[in-house]
Amino acid sequence: MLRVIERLGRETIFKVEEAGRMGVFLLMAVTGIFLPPVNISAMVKQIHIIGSMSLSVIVFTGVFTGAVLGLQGYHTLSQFGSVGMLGSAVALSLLRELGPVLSALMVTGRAGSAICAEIGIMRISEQIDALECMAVDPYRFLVAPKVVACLISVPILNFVFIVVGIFGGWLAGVKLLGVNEGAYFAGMSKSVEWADINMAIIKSLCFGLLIVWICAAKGFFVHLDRKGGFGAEGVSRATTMAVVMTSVSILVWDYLITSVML
Amino acid sequence: MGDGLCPTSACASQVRPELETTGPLPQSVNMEPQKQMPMNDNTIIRLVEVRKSFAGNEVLKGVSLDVEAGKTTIIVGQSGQGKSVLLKHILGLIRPDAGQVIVDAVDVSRAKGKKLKEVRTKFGVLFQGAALLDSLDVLENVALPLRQRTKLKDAEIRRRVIEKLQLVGMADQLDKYPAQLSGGMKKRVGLARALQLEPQIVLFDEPTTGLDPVKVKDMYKLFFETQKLLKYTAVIVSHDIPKIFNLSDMVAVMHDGIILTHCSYEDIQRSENDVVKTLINDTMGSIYSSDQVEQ
Repeated sequence: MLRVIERLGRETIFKVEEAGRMGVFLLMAVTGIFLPPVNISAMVKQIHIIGSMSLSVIVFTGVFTGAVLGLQGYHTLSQFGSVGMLGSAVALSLLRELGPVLSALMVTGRAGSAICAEIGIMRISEQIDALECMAVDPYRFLVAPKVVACLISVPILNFVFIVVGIFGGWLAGVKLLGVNEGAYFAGMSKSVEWADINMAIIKSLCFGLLIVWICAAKGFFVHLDRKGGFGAEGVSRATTMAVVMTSVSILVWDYLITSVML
Repeated sequence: MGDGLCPTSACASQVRPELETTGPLPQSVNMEPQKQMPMNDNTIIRLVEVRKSFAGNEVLKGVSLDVEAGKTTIIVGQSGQGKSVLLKHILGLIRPDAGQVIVDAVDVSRAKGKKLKEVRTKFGVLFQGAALLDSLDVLENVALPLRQRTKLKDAEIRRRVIEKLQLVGMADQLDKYPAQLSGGMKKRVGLARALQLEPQIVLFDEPTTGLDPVKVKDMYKLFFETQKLLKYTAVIVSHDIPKIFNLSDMVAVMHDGIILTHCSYEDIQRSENDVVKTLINDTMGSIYSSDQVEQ
């Protein structure tokens, strides 16, 4: 019994410490954006790595998600004789849910894992220690450009996902299944409101922050992992944990934001 | 000194009587806190009774050490005795559980934010694996302290980088990435980076580990050349044969989480302490070797 209580206490202390560490990490990373010297070229480089290099994945998944929505939507709506609503269904599904969530999950898999692995390797090979010894703030130098890049790239990628998704729905619904093109786009423009676009922006901004926060912190604190955070195995474990935690957090936050904004 | 370990008054710390034993090197030494030495005016780094544990394992068990400005202090000891942990305490990368780490009158063990950053500007560090940023080429690695801490123009930064790389014989490798360099080359670039802002103190963490004998000699030669030129305080941590014992000002022997003795090279040669003798002769090779680097 005593052991159980001991273990519970140890676990609670660890979780509270971890939460505090994560909170301080986010604060330092966001503060780092505004601390001089602001490293614009590092930010541009990170936008390229996180944003531009994720474009092909986003376009590919966006087209097929839209196409699947077109197919599924057509068969469901045709049962009620409302095929004309297909454009609305595709656009609203993409704007409100699938665009922000799926694009964020894609960025997590492609860029989030890379962020975690890069920072984790820097930690275990003493590169972060070296930065601190040179009186270079690692939050400002390493993490802040990634935060800016994620906050800019993820919303843009989200809208790219939505646009190509609508195109995918058009391919499947209009070109493949013969839905009237005018009805497809007219329904869309009638049903989509600014609130839907705002929701997509807010969600993608939150998801962008979640991706960089969790993934960068998991790499940054890889040496504090209780299961032994050193070496390639430690980085590998941290990267897996980062992707899983970020993906779950995105889904939880999606629910929270939707419940507040609807 | 009273215990006969260091025959001259140059000894900066004492070996406690229980260490004055014969026979094999003890695995663990039951230690008492070392007495605090009077502060020397020339002391730039001072450790007072520094203790640190990791997950219940006490690595530093009350380390006290004075490092004098402008001098070369070598800290030797077997692997796993807490030498690198000690260096990290000096840099403020790790905070002690107890004790003080004072660098140039600032208590690093309590300093935070700007104060800590200020102290760190006094240091240059050559890490065991050089710790070069692997996404940057040699030029950018050595330029990093200048880019981050000065407002110099690109041309001036490049000039200074080349100047420092010439000092370590790496000026022709500007566009190489760390992955394309050998261990010795990485260390030389690491040294150029450590010296870039001409720091007051340079810490060397196992500077010769992983190098072949020729490169070891080159590394130490480089060290003496740069120190002669830039006149920095050097703290060298090493576990291998300390070929530069004879050229150092002070030698500290670390064992089982404490500083066993801290005195001059001449004094340590005359040490009657069996623990120190065993440690020096058996575990690190003879310091009386003729194969020592000539100054």
